[in-house]
Amino acid sequence: MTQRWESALPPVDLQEMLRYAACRAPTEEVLSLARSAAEEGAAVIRGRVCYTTVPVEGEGDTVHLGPLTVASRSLAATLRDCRCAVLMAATVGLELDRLIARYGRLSPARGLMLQALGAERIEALCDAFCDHLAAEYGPLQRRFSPGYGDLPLTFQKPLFAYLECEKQLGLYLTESCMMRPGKSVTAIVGVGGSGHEKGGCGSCGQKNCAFRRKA
Amino acid sequence: MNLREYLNEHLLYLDGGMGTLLQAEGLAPGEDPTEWNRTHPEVVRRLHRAYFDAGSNVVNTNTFGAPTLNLPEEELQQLVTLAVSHVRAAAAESTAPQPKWTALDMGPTGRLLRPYGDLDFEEAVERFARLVRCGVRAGADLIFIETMSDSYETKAALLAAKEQSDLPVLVSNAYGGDGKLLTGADPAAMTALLEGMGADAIGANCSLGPRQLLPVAAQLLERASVPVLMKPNAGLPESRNGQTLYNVTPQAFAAAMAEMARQGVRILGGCCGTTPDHIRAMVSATQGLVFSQAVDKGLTVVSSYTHAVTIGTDPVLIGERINPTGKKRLKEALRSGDMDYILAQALQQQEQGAQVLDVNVGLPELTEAQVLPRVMEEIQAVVNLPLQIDTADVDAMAAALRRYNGKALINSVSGKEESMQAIFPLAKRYGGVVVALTLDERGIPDTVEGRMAIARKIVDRAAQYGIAKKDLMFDPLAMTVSAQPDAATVTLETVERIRKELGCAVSLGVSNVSFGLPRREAVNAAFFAQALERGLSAAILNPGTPDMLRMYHAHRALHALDENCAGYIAFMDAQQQTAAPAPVEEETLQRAICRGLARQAGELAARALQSRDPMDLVAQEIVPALDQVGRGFEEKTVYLPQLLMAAEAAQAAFEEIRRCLPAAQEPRYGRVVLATVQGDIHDIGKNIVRLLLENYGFAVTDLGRDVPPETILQAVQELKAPLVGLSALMTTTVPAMERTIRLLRKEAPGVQVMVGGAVLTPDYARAMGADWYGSDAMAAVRCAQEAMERQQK
Repeated sequence: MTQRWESALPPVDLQEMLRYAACRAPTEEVLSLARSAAEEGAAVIRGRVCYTTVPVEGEGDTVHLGPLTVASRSLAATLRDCRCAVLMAATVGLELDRLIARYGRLSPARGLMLQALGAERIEALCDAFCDHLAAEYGPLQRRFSPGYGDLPLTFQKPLFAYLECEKQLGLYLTESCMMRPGKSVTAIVGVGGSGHEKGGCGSCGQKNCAFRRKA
Repeated sequence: MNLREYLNEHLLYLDGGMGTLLQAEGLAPGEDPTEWNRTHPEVVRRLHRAYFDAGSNVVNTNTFGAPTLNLPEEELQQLVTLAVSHVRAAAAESTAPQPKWTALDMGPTGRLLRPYGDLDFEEAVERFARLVRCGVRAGADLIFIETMSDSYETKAALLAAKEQSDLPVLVSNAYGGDGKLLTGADPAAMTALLEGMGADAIGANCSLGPRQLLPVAAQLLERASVPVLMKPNAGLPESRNGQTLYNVTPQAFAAAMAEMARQGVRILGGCCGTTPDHIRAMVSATQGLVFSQAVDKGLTVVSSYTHAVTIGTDPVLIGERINPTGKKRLKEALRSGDMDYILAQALQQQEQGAQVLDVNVGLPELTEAQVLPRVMEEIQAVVNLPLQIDTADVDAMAAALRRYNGKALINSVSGKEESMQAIFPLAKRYGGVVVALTLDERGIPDTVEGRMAIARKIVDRAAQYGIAKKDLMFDPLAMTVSAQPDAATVTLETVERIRKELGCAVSLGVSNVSFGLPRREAVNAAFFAQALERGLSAAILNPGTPDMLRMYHAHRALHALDENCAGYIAFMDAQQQTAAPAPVEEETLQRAICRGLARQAGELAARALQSRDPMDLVAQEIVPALDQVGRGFEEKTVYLPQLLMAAEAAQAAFEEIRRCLPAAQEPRYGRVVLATVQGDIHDIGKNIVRLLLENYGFAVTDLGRDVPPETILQAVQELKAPLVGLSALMTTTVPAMERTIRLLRKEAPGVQVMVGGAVLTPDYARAMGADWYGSDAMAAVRCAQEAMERQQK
């Protein structure tokens, strides 16, 4: 059964936001724009999470998450030896999409900053939620989302249906499996386990990525 | 017994949770509950019967999820007929004495509507319409629309119910802990929308327990003139020993529901986690309760998808700027489809304090029935103010009202029979407050009595169409004092008499009064103040006129409408700030652009244009600045935000230059058609490319996002564009890009195609047949330049 979780978010991390805006060395003007966008955006953001816990079973690359089944080698690796997993969906809400759309048209620079803010906020929300989970369950695997590795994006469909994201969060899937509101995350979080796949930018082959974190 | 009559005299009891009971009977998570009508008929009937036995008057068919299925009508009919028969059989079997009805249950489609989702409004209407037709044929007694968390989808469902049946319709929304729908509407906005369209009762269900829903109930009761319904969950789900339990017992639930009933809620039931025991306890706790009739609140209200604006004693400002009459730049924007200019006008008026925006796109060369709904939707996508739909074209009015997300102001009807026959049916069907002009076939009467006679006629005729006085706002027409000495006094007296004798709201287009006079603002402000004093409810004006706004804020302060004079003080503070000159340092235009200072760039350009040739300014200041920043970006010393800020600053300068050029300047390069491909709704990358292309002198036609291949082809052919730019962000939408390119290759040979987007690579772009691949926005500009050169060879 799906449950909901809400919490106040930590303050905006401007450095992280600028990283999402593909900006390594902000000028004074860019910084001032980032601050002002963060203030405007944060005022309309409302972080919401829904989740449920399911038993994990598997043979080979096939993973059973309660009633859901999916074939994915990378998910199987992540969930190796996990006794259960948390299926989660999180969003910062439609109001931010509206702001992004507004400025995307009228001031793309501000629109970009609000996009970056959304990325920073949804990550902060997911991190806060996982901290909350860890306090209850102990060590967790890294969040694993449809589209990561070989876990197909189409896995969003059964995941959405199971979590009732529309009703719980006002989070919708388009025909092409995009989430609306745009700044949203669905993920599978393994509890316990031995997968401990290294995460983060260091493990990624895209060395020239504009968003790559500095080592 | 007739349900509507019964509802006038009694509390009406609904059923409780169905989904949670089916799960307890073995429905697996993710399994389609409507299937159980066929596979487990005995279980479904038993549960329905248990609710009738517990005292429910209305039991919902097990069709909540039917709108998500999108079945063909024949298949849907089988499902609905079966589902209705189960409730009917349960009613017949139950020996409980209360009157019993079968409600066709309709939940949401599970899809978000455009512009933020991908389900078209009409497609949503059709999904619900199919279900309603099936329900009517199957013999349902009423329609229950529930658990809707989006105002637009709720409108689609109610519209379908009203267009396809005469059955009573109860409408229930799912409110979150913040007292709003998940897409933003508050109870006042939903009340305006749903009552306006003729819902028989409105309310809330699901999401929260009865105690948490009390504030929502209170707000609905304060606003609604129709009965209010409440169908809360049995609290919140808690996981205990691997079992899910709802935490409100039947007794606690019943006590909270009795409290709601005492406050005036007339229709009571339960949602997730509630059981026949909850309903039985609730019925017993509320039996014999003396309740108050739902009373007509008499409020004149319009709404958007977030909030309502009440037109009453506190005057409402309606921004008039989106009207091409006498506005060269807006005409140009409408002709060229430059939505951004129009959106900027809308936003500016909101920032200046307008509470409603008038939208008029009347130009002889445009087909209003197409342009008006489109402009309205574009504005609604980014501005949350209620809109006043302003057109003399009845088809355009109908098209716009149908798709409006909220309850609109309808501008306008007059005392002419033809006008009333055209407009009132639209107002009845779609809801709205109608602006009624006191003129008729014989023109505008010179006397107060003449205008009052027309007003009375309009009130009577409106009533015949089922439109109440509260949904009329009169405009007694401000005439020009320089042409007719008593013009203002007649209008002012009419304002007062309509307010007092008819009790209707009154608005005026204030500025007409001063035509032909010098320093018109003095006359306008004085007239406005007097009209407010006589009871004016709303004014159509330019919110950028400080004199009028000062008068407005002073009036509110003087009439105890502005607590602590906070509005007045805030307005005057803001005035002072904007009055102060922008801090222009010793900057050159070139440097201001490089730093991305848009306001300064605009002012510096305006100043420079007093002494310098516009084209000179472009060549010596703007282009070098853009080149410097663009090169920096390519060399990775300048990052994307700064590039964009510089581009915006350049645009501010261009806007000034445009002002002093006699005709639209011939663009340096040819036309580029831009679009994000079908299925993809990410558009920031495309917007960035557009901004830069415009900066570099390209003529750009932006088709927006989620654009079908055929639309792109059509634009290319009509505009004879030599270059198309396509953007796709997701692997799932790249096939749509390929389809578009194939279509263009076949039907528009010769057009060059440039592609970009996060998932693309040069190889991929080549493989799908694109001519150019832009890895980022500057690269796209370079590609476009080369493409145009190739074109000319």
